[in-house]
Amino acid sequence: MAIGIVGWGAYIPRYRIKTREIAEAWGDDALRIRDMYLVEEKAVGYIDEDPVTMAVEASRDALIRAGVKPSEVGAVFAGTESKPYAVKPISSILIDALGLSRQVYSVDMEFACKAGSDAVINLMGLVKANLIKYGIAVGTDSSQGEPGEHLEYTVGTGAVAYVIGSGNLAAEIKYTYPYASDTPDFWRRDGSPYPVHGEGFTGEPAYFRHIIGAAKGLMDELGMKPNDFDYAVFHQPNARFPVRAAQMLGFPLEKVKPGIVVDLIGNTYNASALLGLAKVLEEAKPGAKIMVVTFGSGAGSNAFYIEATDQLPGKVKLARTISEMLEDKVYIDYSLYLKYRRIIKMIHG
Amino acid sequence: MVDQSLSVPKYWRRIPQYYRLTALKCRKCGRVYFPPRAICDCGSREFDEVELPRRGRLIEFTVLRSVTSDFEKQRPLIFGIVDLNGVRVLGQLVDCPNPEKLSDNAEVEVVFRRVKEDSDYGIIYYGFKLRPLKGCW
Ligand SMILES: [Zn+2]
Repeated sequence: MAIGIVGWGAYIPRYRIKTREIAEAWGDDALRIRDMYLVEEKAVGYIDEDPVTMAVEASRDALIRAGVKPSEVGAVFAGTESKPYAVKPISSILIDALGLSRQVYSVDMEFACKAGSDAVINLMGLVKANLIKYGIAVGTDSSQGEPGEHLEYTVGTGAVAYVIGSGNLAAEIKYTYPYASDTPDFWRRDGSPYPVHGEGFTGEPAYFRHIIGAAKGLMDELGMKPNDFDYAVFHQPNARFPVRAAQMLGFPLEKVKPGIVVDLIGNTYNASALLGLAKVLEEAKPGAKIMVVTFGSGAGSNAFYIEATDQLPGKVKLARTISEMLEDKVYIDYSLYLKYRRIIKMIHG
Repeated sequence: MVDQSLSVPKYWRRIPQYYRLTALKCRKCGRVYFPPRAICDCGSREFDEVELPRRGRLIEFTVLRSVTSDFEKQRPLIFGIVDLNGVRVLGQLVDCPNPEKLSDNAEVEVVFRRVKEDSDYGIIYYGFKLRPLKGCW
């Protein structure tokens, strides 16, 4: 039974801030910052946007592209690390916002930036076991970056949703491969407003080890090589990391570039690689072979081998595209950024 | 429009309207009501639930620069009436930093947003708002 992506949807807020604007506010060298991360600008949700609202927007479009009625959905899983409530699920709000039935398996998942991709894999299992016909997997985040710290340059805002099922596929998910270990690279303690990095752990022992481990494991088990793939999409905390991961694995730049969105919207955490995949789906031809490797701190990766079907091109224009959302933007300055992201603590509201 | 002085029970009862624009369509004469009501102008009490479309045109709007303390951070507030396939709906307009450039008849989409929250510890109320597709920045 072929299982995969029946439909997908994405959401990127309208507001943007240039990394140059942030650097100028803090007296950093803007050119140096750009060179470090290759992030030009990032998406900023308005005061009334959060991971719940973005998840609803992305899921609505995913259902439209899937051509699936809300009553046919049997599960909704939301991957996030920036829940607006510590206790109260996003997934149950999705049930009512999307008009799903009450007979829906629903849960929020957390594994830093990886959980959205775990939602996809868990839904594949439920579809395969015939427990559900369709499921919605969401990756949504509006994460935190301490003002004046480097994380602030890259932390973005966005969401993506996939309808997983076994008929009318836009793309078949042919294989998955996990790679995870206890790695202290990045965390946020309960009640803490901002996350911190484990000094020296973010690059090699965390991101690269897990991404490369999952990608190589996937290719080894399938007997495939980078040459066999048309696209490679990696988790993108900045634009340097995925390009370097591609180099280490032997993918040429032109196979990784179409799936990079972090340079224009920042790191969207649970949406990151899955948004990159959504952008690739907008241009991939039937039969295109796509590798996707997600990553979450703590740390782990899921690698996917995905193949576009004949139905893919016909689904692209059914809802808002990433190309359109990347163009639909309004720049704000640093003071509005602080206000929109509620970074200044105020007594009134 | 999403009521701005909500209580938790009232909000919970109106979730279908606030989240999905669930309206009532009269079985006898076909008239559509949003917000829903119990009796149609034609006298019928039999309705079917329908969801309003998520794209429409702005009919008119007003810009409020003086607002209650709950909404100070969103000044200026823009409220508009939009035509969703013949049904007129009142709502807050967002993502429109330059209302001077907004024109009647602008194309608008219905979006899902936070409406308000009960302090840092209480419930967060979600509901629909309206977003111009272009022309206000
Ligand atoms: Zn009637």
